[in-house]
Amino acid sequence: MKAEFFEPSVEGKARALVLIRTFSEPASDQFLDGWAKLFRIDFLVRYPGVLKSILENRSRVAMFAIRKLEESQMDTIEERMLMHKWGPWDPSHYAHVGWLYSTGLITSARKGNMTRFQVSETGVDVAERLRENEDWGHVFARAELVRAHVNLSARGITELIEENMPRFDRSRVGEYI
Amino acid sequence: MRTRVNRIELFGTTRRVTFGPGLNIVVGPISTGKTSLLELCRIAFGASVHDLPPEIAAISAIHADLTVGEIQFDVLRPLTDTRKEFVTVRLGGNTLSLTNDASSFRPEISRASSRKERYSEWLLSMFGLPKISVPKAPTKDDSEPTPVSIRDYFMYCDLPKEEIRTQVFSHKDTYKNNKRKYVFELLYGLYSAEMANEQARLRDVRAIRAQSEIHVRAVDAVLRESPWGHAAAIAKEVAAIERELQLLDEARAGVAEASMRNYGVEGLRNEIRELDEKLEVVERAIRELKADRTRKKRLLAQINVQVTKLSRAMTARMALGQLKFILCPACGKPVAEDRVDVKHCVLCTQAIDLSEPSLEELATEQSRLAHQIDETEEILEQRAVELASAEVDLAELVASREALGQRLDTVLSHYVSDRAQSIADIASREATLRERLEQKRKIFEFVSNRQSAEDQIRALLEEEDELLAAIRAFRRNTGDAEIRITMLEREMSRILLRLNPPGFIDASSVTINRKTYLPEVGGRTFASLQSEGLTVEVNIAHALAHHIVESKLGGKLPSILFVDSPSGAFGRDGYDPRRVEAIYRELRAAVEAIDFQIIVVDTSIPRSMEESVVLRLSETERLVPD
Repeated sequence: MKAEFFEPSVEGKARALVLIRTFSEPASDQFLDGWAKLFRIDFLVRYPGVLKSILENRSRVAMFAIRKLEESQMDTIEERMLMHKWGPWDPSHYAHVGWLYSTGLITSARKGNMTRFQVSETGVDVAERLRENEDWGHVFARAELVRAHVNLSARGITELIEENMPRFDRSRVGEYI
Repeated sequence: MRTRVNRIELFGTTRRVTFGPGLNIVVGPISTGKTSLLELCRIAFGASVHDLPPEIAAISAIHADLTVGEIQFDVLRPLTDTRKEFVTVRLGGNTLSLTNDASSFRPEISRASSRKERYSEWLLSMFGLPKISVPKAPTKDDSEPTPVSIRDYFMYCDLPKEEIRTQVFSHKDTYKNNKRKYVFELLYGLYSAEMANEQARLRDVRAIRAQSEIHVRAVDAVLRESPWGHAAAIAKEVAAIERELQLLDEARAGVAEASMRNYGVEGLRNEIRELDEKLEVVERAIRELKADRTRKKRLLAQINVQVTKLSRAMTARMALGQLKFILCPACGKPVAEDRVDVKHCVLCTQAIDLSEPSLEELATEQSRLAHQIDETEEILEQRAVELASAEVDLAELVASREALGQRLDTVLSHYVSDRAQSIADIASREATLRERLEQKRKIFEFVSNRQSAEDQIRALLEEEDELLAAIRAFRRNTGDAEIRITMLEREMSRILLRLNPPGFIDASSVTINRKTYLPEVGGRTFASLQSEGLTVEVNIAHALAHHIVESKLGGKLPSILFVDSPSGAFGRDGYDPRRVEAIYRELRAAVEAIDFQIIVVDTSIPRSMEESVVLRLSETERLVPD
């Protein structure tokens, strides 16, 4: 297991904020539903090549949306993730989300066994400051493409990844993807 | 060798005749089947079933109990000569099926058409007699071969009614006489299986030689009509043509080289070679530039990723760095702001590690990377310029190379058209020479073949001489044979003396002619003997003498004798009961002296012989009842 290599970082906190911001609205009924979904959408943002091929095969509209992606980053992987039992996983997110909660950038609620996340007003302000930076702008753009075209359950996203990424192998639990 | 008919059964009738060892007499008037019975006994020993007398047509087969040497066996032989019918032999517990040996003997055909052994051949092996073929013409060693069969040996065991007065073992029949003489020579050691093989080899050698001679004559006939000399002369001509061809080749190469020099071809070629070398250098440089460009682009991409990360880290730190904990992540309650100072963690109150790079340091790193990007991009631009210039050089070189190639082609085509006539001349001369060469080689082969045929003929002639010498040597080296023939003469003379025919002088007057192997009495040949009775007596004495000598010497002649009507042969004028009785006495004396079976058929016999009668036939008691 390589989980010990995943230490919390400022960039990690910021990316978690960007994702929760994109998938929720403050003081509304829009939430990011559960840890699993957070991990799966994070994977698509960190592996732009996989996102591109999913969009290409998803629908005509999605295919046109690819233009919004930064071409020069298509071949790169921003930060690798680990293969967990049910799909991509990054243990450092537990610390990131905890920090976001403690600093009041997000709130959380429970629905049955599931923890749901929602951005706070302060979180929206901080996220907007990040968006002003061009490089964070790319991250926002990808997250928004995911919300617009691949807003499925955690399991649904994992199946799409499996269909579009030949080397994706669920049996290699604990390995880098 | 002991040979007996113990019993003969005639299928299709109820007749069964039993014979004992020694003298067996069948007596009866004419036309009662006596001669037919003898014929059936001969058939039991392999004689032909062709042309049988009509009175035995009712007999479908014979079943005979025979003895050869120490072996007793049963033979069932159908009296038809179709190949479908088999001769069945029962020997001990085994039953053999053999072909009905009726047709004339043709070894090569019989071997191909029938895999089964012939009865007559089987009998030969029973008697331990060799299977050999002898020349049809006895004076010509290489004349057509004919096999010596069991019937030829049985000629010495048979005195048929129609021959007993006139012939010695069928000697008037040229074909049979030849065989009779060979059997004599085989029995008395004047001839042997080895000699037969040598004669066969001689026949082969002469046949091959004849073919070779025909070939040589044919070649000679062709050569006589042609202007060609012998093999050596042709070989010399072939060598001359080959030399001329070689000279032609050399001349052509020399002329081509010199002419090309005149046309400046060599200079053009050198230029092209130099250009090709330059082209290679430029192409290699372009390859290296392109590889470098790819490497630099990859580096640039990596730096850009790093720059992006730095940029994001700085932005995130600026956006999130100043935030304070307001809620406890454990219980969710607000956290007091003045719990600790900035150098300690608000939750665990431990000292914070402040060693991580400051925003300023990150900015310095960012500008360093930006500088590196600029540098790399500059190099990339420079490489692009170099590449473009190299590609221009390459294009120019390629164009020059093409132009030079075209020039060379033009020059060469001029050269070829200028030299076309002389090239054509040389080619036509070469074609002519090659054709002549081929022709001469064929003639040489033809003449050489004649030579080898001649060599073969010479070798065959030598072999022929050797074979003839061997055959002659064998014929000369027959000392034992002479002793045996002398024994025969003495035995015959002794018997004849006891038969006491009129006009017979003394023992020394009985001789065997060394060429015809026929008996002569008092210097007179058999044919010139006048008295009918005397020819019968000579024939009887001659036959008995053969069997007695053979028996004494342990020979392989079947020790059986069929005699048909010795008394009737005297004729009405010459009939003398005492002479007939003397003959019967000698027959009995012979069977008493040696292991011998004699079957005599006659119309009347001396009273003293009654005890030897085994079958009495009459008008009412025929062999084959009506």
